[in-house]
Amino acid sequence: MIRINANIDKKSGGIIKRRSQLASIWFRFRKNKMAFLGLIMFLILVVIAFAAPLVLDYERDIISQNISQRFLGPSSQHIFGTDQFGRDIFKRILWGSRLSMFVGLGVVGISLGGGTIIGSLSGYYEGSVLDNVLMRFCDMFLAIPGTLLAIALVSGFGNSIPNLMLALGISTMPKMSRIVRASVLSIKNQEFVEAAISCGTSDFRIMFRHIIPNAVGPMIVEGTLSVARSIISIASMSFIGLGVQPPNPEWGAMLSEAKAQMINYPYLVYAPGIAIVLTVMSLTLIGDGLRDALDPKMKN
Amino acid sequence: MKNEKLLEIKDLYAQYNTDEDIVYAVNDLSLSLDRGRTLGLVGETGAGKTTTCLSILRLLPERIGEISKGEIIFDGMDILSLSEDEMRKIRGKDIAMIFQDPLSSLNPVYTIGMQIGEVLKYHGIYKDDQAIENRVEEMLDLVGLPKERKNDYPHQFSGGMKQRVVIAMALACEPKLLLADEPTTALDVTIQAQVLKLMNELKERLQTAMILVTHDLGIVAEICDDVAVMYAGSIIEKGRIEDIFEGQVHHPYTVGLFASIPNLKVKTRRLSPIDGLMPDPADLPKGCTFNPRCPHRMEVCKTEEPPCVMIGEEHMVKCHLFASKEGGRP
Amino acid sequence: MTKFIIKRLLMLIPVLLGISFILFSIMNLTPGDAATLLLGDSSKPEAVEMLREELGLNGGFFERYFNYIGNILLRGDFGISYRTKNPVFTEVFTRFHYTLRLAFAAIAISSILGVLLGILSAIKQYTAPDNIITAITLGLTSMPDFWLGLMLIILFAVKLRILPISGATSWKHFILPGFTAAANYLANTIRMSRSSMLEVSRMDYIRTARAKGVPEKDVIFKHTFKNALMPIVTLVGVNMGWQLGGTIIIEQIFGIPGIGSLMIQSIRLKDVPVVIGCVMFVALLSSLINLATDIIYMYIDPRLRAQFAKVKKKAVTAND
Repeated sequence: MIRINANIDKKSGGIIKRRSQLASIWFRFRKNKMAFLGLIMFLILVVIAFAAPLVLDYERDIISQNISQRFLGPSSQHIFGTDQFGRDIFKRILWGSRLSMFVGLGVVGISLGGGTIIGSLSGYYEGSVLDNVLMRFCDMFLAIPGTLLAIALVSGFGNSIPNLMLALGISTMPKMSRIVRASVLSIKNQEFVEAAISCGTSDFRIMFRHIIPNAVGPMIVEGTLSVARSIISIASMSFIGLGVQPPNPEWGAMLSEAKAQMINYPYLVYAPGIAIVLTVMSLTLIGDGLRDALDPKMKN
Repeated sequence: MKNEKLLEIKDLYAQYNTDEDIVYAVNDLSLSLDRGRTLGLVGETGAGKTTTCLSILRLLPERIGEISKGEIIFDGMDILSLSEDEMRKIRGKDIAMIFQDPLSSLNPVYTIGMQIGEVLKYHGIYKDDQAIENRVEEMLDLVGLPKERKNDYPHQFSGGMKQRVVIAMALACEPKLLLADEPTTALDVTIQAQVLKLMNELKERLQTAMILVTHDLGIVAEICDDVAVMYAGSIIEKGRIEDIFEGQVHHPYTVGLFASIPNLKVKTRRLSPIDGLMPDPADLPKGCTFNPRCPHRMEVCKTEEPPCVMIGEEHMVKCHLFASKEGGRP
Repeated sequence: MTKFIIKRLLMLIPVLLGISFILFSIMNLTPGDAATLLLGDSSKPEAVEMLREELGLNGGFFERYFNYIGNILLRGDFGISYRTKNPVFTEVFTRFHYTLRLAFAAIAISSILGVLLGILSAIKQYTAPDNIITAITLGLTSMPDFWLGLMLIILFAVKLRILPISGATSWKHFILPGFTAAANYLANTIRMSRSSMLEVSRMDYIRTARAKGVPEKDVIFKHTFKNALMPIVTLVGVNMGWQLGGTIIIEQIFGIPGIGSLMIQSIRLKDVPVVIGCVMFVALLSSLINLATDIIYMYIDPRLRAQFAKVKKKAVTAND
């Protein structure tokens, strides 16, 4: 069966039509209904994040308090109701998407940047002293629970959005380094790299011309999934008061404020949580879809 | 023996429904096999040989593979109408199969003794464990492996030894029919000969009928009684070994197949391969499936499916070239 | 085998030293110090200075670090908590059993349920049960655990009133936190079991088993499962390690006075010895669990067993 299929694949590639690699990845991605759904959800979120400041005024709609309007349950005027300061939860959630996306991308930027440097150095010079030092360092960081490391860093550096990004970026960097290292290793042992080495190509050129471009696929997948996880971490940190601070409408911070009133006004905690779930879900679906599209053999 | 005919396949169609398209792997295949005889099923990779064997065991990949039409009669039973449980009782006991790759055919986490004994256990031939143990040792002995090795795991064996284990497993219940799917392809040439010899001896001894799938015509010549040549999912020529290897009248594909193997006796400057490729089984040509590659192509080949022409007593060729001859014969 | 275990245990030492150094640096090189934090901003500078002296915060960075490590290595003394003045050892041990209970509840839920649902999902691939399980998995991975905790509290403690909101005095108190902590790992375990089962089920030896007439039930539970088990065991081991350090926020929500709560308190007050003590303890325990996983691994896979028990090969195989 497997042989028969392989045969057909070869033929349909050779005779029927030849798609470019990118186009065929897109083709497989689009055929994956869940991944496509994730993409649409994500695009909507991006539009919301960009459009929020055009429609809403930060001072007036997001942070100004209106005590006479507090604790209004969901209604046609306030679809998710108002919070303990009389602010419209729906508007705050829309604005909150900006924070989650921005901080999430920042965190992954830091960890992917650092992880790529560490992982590719370590993978390319596999077995060297450098590799050993870097990997043992990663092991040590990995042995410290991630949340704890982030908490220690934030409480050390002080509460602020850049510090939060840095803390989460650093605490996810070791894992990212390991992933990059693994994919560099698998590419390094392929024949085209050996061919390049045998031609006397410089290390620098092999790394940037041959290895990194081929490792980009798994890195994009990991990056996407990592943004999803970071959004959860950001919300968790804000929830325990060590991340984005109120009155900023970050979803975790909103939940932190709502927690005290939760028993009497449970609706306060529904909407921000659902916003997080939908955002994370869209990114997870995209990440999984990309993984399958990049490597159709891995799909089960 | 009450019934000489052990297996009869009539007008079998099997297909794979993949995400992208439907692959017609077996098309209108008919063949029959008598007890104790060996049929060589020859053809290129992708001709549908493995699919045919899997269809007989009803083991086409779930959800994807499907037998869409036809009949398979084994030992008087209509296999396609049996329940899954009845079918399970036949697998391993009456029909056994040896797969292509012995290296991956054995479960890495169980001892080979357990894996051989398992067949006996599930088919309830031997009642107590001691009898099963004895039979396992007997089988190992039969395939030339020391019986102390029954407690070893597959990774402790070499490729040729693993194939012996697989053979022991397949023959443990003395099946009536053995399906051997390229049993030697994955092995070294020297080991190949040993394994084939062993299979042949055991087959003779146990009076087992066998379908030997291969693309190696040398093996066919050595072992088989009958030969069927497959192309694009159907049998285009079949007959006794003499008919195929010596007869004068052949399907153009068979002629091509023989011309493309080296021959020590005849001096040739170069081999003559068949032009072109096997057709895409998802998009088979109309009429005769071989027509795009056939050197004797006629107009009729492009539109009409060729008839099965009987050249001799048992020699059949499916080709328009000989259709007139049949008519001309008394 | 013994050699392997000893080697692994020795490898732990540099890791633990590294952890202590990393945390010591983070906590000492960032602004703010324990004396000021303990006494509050408005306290007299003399009082702060006295406390600094008492806690030994006045030495140089390396001097203090080597003192700290020296005490551990030479006397097994992990120092005293700046906050309570109790030995770190006592602090950690009085809290630890809560975390351990929570972690075990979570691991039991996620492993048992995860493996069962994963197998079900794999054998019913592309049918309704598979789709439902996959959807649940996706939901669980996308959900922050603290939010799930809040939702469970609203449903079971506030609306249905069948389980307590917070505290840690009876086994009932561990049900909601256990489920909350299990959620993410449950999703992982389902995913991993499903894909592992599917991967193995495509192997040639599974087809061989079917061709032998092995009943479907045994094809799944004997032939497929035992092979699919290895990545699952690893995952459960890794999960267990993470669980021990990963329940920090959940302990906060459900008011469980475990090691997570202790760590957060101590970090905020820069109670360095307690923080490092906790982390080293968690790291040690999770490494031991990983080691145990590797040993279990060897018992499942004869190929690995052969590697580590070459000498005893005959004895081992004879025992099977």
